[in-house]
Amino acid sequence: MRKILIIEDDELLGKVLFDALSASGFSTTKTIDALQGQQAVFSLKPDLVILDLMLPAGNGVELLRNLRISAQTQSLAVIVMTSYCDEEVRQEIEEVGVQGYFQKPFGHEELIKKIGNILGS
Amino acid sequence: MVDLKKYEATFLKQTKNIAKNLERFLKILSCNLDNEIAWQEGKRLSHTLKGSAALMKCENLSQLAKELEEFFSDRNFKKQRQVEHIISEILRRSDSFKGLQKINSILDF
Repeated sequence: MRKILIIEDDELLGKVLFDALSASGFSTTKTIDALQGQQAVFSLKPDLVILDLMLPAGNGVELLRNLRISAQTQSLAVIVMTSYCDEEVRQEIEEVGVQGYFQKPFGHEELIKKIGNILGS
Repeated sequence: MVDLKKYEATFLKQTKNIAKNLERFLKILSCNLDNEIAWQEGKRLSHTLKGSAALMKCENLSQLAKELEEFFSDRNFKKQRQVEHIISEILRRSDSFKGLQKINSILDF
């Protein structure tokens, strides 16, 4: 079973995504801040991370950079989600390296389809 | 399609917590406008409320949360009274999903 880690401080959205992804057959874990998220990446070794950009205890962009610096997580599939439509941030994220970028609000069906394409499942 | 009804209780609880924290940050800022954490956390929580309200189709509440986010982002403390009013209104209505859905539309700043 493929493992997905959600790093999202919005409890409601985290729960909605968790339920949708679990119902779609993924082994899903959620965390609520950048520090817990980073720790969970290294302990759980997920196949894909869904990452919010605005997080407590750090921020999503920094976390993404840290993942790309580490040999262990350099190629880890990451989908970013954010409410901001800042083109500069989007370019920065894409330069650091992401496999998907979702503007909130979005339909969870789109997200699941994207995950399927990325993981080839 | 997500059945949003099953998330109403989570949404209400989260909204109430956010509003209480925003109230607390406003009190902190009224004593010390340089408190960086209050400004940043206020902005983050307003941003979260904006997103979760939109997810639950509470468009008016989402718009009010956007005003709060702008307040904490712009740091214009002259708008303190209006922001206090928004937050207390959210708290007053946060025991009922219908209450939050029907919250007054945008206040003019």
